[in-house]
Amino acid sequence: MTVLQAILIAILYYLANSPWPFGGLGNYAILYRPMVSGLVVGIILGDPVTGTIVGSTINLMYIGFISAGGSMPADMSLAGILGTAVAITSGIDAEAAVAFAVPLGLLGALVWVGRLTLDSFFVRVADKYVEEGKPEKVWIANILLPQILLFFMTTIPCFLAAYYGTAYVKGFIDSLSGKFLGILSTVGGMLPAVGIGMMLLAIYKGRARIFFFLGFFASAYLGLGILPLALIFFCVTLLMMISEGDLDVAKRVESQEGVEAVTYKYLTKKDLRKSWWNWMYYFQSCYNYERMQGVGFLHAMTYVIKRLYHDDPEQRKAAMRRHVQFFNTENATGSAVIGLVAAMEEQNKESGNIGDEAFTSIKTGLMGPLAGVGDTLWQGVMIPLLISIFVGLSKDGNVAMPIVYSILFYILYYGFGYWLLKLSYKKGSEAILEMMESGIFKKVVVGAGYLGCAVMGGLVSNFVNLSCKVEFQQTAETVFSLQRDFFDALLPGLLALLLTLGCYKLLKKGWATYWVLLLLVAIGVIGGLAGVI
Amino acid sequence: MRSIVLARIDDRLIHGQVVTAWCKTTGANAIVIADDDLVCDEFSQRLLKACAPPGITVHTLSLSDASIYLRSTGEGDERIILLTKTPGVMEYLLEEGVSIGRIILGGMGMKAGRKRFNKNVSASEEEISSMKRIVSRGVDINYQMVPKERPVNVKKLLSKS
Repeated sequence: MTVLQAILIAILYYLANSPWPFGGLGNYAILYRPMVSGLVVGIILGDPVTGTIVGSTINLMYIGFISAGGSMPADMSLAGILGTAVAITSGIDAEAAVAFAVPLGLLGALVWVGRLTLDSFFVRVADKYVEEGKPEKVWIANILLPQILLFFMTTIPCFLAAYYGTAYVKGFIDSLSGKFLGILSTVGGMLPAVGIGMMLLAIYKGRARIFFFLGFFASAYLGLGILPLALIFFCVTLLMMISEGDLDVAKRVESQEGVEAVTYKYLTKKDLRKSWWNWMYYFQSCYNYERMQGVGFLHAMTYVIKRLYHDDPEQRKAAMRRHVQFFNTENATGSAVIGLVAAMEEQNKESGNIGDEAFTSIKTGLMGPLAGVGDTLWQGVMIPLLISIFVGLSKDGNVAMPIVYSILFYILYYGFGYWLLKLSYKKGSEAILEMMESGIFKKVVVGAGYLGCAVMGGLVSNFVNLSCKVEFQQTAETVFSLQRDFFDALLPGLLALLLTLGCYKLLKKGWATYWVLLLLVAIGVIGGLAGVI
Repeated sequence: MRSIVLARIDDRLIHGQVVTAWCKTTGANAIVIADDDLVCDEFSQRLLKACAPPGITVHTLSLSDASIYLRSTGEGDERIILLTKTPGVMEYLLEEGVSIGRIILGGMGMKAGRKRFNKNVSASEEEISSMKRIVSRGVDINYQMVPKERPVNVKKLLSKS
């Protein structure tokens, strides 16, 4: 690896954790995912096809991954980026790369904790601008300073690891015997069972369990790939879920009478849009334990504040003070708060009678529930579902699929956020409440859970590898292979299915993920040495 | 006495961590929120009910009602997640005789009168002494955002502040 390549890889790691180019959560769903970053690492190192294959394989480990409310169990972006780099530079196969990537993911989580701790310093800077009543300076506290910090926190360790680490690992791997690498591949082939098991933890329940087996059988017996499987089960799920009137909810809410409020009297459409884009991109740029997204929220509101209170320093300061407070929610569903608060600020300008208390109560009242709905909807089901489908397509080296996924996700996510923004700005809190009460989101989540289970079944059949090497001499010429003549004859992939369900059971019992991982490594190593698997 | 599977202090009440993680690992089927302010806030009550995961009933109760409710005889296999915004409420419920095995400290946002306590938890003097009193009753308080994280006993942090 050249110095330039290592620098580019380090910058990629920074970008995956930064707001650019797809926005705060956009990046987290796109560049942060090993399927996508694997492709980019592949391009940097001159082998996009291998990059895509390895990235997608590593991504299987992190399908059921959720980071909610400031918790971060592992850093899949570091695992994906360095794992892919190792695989390409040392020529090991994708399965073996997974075994290298997973520990890196755990190390990367330290960067996250460090960042949330250190970013608290920039809250002081933001507070200073608030007291000075200078909304135009907030970007320094929200973007400039925390991003410079993040840049160094991410690029330095990643550059060192990419430049020196991969060379070291290559030397290490070259010195190994084929037997060891074989065992590494066996282990790597088993590990996706943990990722899928984690995902099942969220969706494997009730009737959805039958879908898991349907998906597995369709793939194991009929040889269906992930995309045909997903499309067929999408239709089946729709048939099951839709009852008369379900889809009318959105229309009904849209057509509701707006509340008695001033809209677009002082604010322009552009102001609202700018606020929203700013929220979508920089909501978590200065993420810290003290105020979480408080500075991000203030930054988004600065466009509204500048427009409404440009000639009134006291009002300006008061508005800045109330929006730099503690705030934490999901990015896209948080658009509703941006819309509502913008409308309230406009009302406040008109009548001047909305107190801080009203703002605080609407913000603190909404942030939890909206995060609950948003995290479940996007991180819980939509991202894993889309990733699963596209990993199924990209794992054989189709470089277009990570790109198609990225575009599709971006459109869906930002489309949803923009719709919520408009709805909340124009129709007020009652409309948001009615939409939540209609249960439409829950329906989508349940439906996506059915479809998700079917896709997980297909993933197990396609991508979890475990086979038994035990053979008996049957007659003088023929051998009875336990795998070929017993397991495959009954149900191809039976061992993979049992392994995945086993991982799921252990995780459900409360086993920590790394213990399940270690158990699989132990089984792989012992079984491999004994020649059983 | 009803069965409390998780008692959590978290001023965002029902949100991502609770919905995506705790509800699942605890197998809860009910959430009880004890908070006097919420009882007069119909909007928030409706919102919290609307955002609970499928299969989970939400009860928003005043402190005294929560105490009566939790001490009454439960029906069937009720598994309750108890949520409060502050340690003070937990202390009140403990004093009333509600049986709470241990308490998870999830998050308390920074606001006037509070100081940074640990990571995403800020606490006022009164809240810290309330936690101290809870601990001295023999009830453990563990800081833990999500089930996958290792719980951190706050005893040491309390003695420092």
